[in-house]
Amino acid sequence: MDQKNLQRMFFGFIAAVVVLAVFLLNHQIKQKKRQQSTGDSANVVSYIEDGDLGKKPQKKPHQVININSVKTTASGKERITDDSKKLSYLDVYKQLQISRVCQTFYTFWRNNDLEADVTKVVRRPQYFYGQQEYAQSEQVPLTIEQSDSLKYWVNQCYGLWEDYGVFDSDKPGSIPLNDVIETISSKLLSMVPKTPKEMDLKQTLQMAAQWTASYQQLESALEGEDSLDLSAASELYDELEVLQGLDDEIKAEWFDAQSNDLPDADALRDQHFDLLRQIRVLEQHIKEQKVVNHEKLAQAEINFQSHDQAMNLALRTQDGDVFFEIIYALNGRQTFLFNILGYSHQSNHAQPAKQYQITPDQLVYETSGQNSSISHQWELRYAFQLYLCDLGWDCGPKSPVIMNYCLVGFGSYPDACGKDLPSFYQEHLISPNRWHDVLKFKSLYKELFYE
Amino acid sequence: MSNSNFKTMFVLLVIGIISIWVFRILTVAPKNKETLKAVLQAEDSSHKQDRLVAEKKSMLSNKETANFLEFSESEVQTISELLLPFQFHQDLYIEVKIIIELNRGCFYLIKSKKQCESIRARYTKINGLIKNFQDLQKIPPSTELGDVLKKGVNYDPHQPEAFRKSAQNKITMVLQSQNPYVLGLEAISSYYYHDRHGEVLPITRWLNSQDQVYNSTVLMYSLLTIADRIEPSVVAEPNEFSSMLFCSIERTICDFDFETAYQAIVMPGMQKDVDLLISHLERFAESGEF
Repeated sequence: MDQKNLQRMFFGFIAAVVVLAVFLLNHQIKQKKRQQSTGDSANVVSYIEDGDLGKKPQKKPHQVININSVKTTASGKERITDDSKKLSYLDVYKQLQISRVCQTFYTFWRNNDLEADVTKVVRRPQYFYGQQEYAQSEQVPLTIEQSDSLKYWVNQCYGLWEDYGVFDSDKPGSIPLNDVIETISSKLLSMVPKTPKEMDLKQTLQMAAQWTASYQQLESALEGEDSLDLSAASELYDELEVLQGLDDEIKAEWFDAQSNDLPDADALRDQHFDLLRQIRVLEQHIKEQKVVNHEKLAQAEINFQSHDQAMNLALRTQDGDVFFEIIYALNGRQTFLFNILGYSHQSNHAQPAKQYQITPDQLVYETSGQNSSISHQWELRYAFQLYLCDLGWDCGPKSPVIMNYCLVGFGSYPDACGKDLPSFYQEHLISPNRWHDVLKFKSLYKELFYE
Repeated sequence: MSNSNFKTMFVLLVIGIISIWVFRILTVAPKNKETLKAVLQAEDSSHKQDRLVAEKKSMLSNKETANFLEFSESEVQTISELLLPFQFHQDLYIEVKIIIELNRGCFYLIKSKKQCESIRARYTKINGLIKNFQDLQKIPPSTELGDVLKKGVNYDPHQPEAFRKSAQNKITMVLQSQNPYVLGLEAISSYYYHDRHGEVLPITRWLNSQDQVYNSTVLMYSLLTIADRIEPSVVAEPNEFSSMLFCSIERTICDFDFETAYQAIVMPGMQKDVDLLISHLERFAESGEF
């Protein structure tokens, strides 16, 4: 081979190597770009195994529920209020019941705004072993039944605001200026009942109001009046208020530390109990300086006992709403959670007036022969509510008590949504063995009060 | 460039290129699925290695810290001698833990139980060294059970399954201990803290009950019943947990033994649930199965 050909071969070879190098470099760059889009390192050709796709559970997109989202739905047509129909006494009473349990929503809307996502009102459901886990900061998705229930109740609650609310004329559709529950109660007071049930109900509500007033008078008379001068008495009350405020803060920190397994939980608990001891000492001191007006007390006792007797006689009814209203009054009417009624030993009525009161659950207890009231409080509550259902009280899928369980009780129970109360209790909440204990108490309610 | 130099350079260049080519073939694996997997795993392994090293370092530093916060041998010896003979468990950590819990129970719940006098006396002996929970944690456990009780069960929201496994391990060890005081301690702890982060055992399924307050109560009674079967309590005898519990619920039965108080307070349906749960717990402790 002559030199010229050899040179041509050489330079041709170099040129081929250069072309090959450029081609390989271009290929590398393309691979690198593809790798970067999949997150793998530059030296690894990325690929995705088919089996990897779909391994991570797909999270359902969160559905926001607010007033606007429910206004045009089918549940928007289910309200009691129909402009073309004049409401009866019973209709307005049912509105009162609805408004009582709507307090959760009203508080939420007052603290947020009307466009806020109402799903945040729903309490976190109880966790059962084996269920999907959600972080504390993560909202547990609502079940379909919970969503349906929530939409229904948003519509019901907001509807009452629209019907009974007094609004600032400059801000239509905003938060009402009045307390809707009070407005409905006032309307009910002014209405004339027509049917025997309505008359019975009105009479019961009036009697319950009189009982409450007499009970408050008795409490006041038993407490007595301050014997210290105004400034000395004020000093004691102010100190008590400070300690109670501090205790509330410490308690909140303690519960938070417990929930998050923080090491200072025990120390905070000890601080709380120390403060509690100081509060009790101060309360005792305040109590000791009070002087009871015995004439006033005697009058209050007689007055209360006559009203209490009337209430106990009224319990012998076959009307679920009447029975409910009496228990509601005896429990202090403080709660919007109907599912915790039926056990009044820890009601909002303060000592010592409670000793004058004999409640239906106490009568059931005495009749049953069981010891210890505190440990059976929930059996009594369930029995009371099942008895109410037997009397025709609203225990259906759209009832306030089911709403308490489904959405806004102490933790929510999705299995309650769309069911009636007895079915939910027997099929989900109460064990088969415990069911017999509950039925025992229920039979005593019937034995004592059903005529 | 002369002809011979050019030829030499050319030959050298070709040999060099071929050598490089052969070298790459021999040392670099072909890029197919299996080799790429291995590379990924190797990278994961290296990340894993980094993590393990970091964990080990962390453990060492914790151990150092723990050692720094533990009582010295002489202090441990002093506490032991003050409490001899041990009444509740051979492990000093567990013995002291039970004394502290009983003393707290005496302070907050019961004002005049006879057992509280001896408990307070024993607590007073060690109160100079052990004033609070942090001091308790300075005692080194001498048993595996003590170690588990000392570490406790910590909830990590990123690893809830680990929390439940840890809680199950603790309950298993407590049940296997057959120690009535340890069972009593776990009973009270379960009652107050059982469902704080959701169930750690499928009690809802076992009892067919979604009422977790009820389920916690049944669990508490189950553990106390097991404890009582190991060492039946009578008035003024140990197993103070059950008597304190009943006394806090109902003052009229403060001086009753466990069996009498249990029959007085616990309704028939709940008693059946307690027996049912005991059978599930015993099977779980034995086999680890639900």
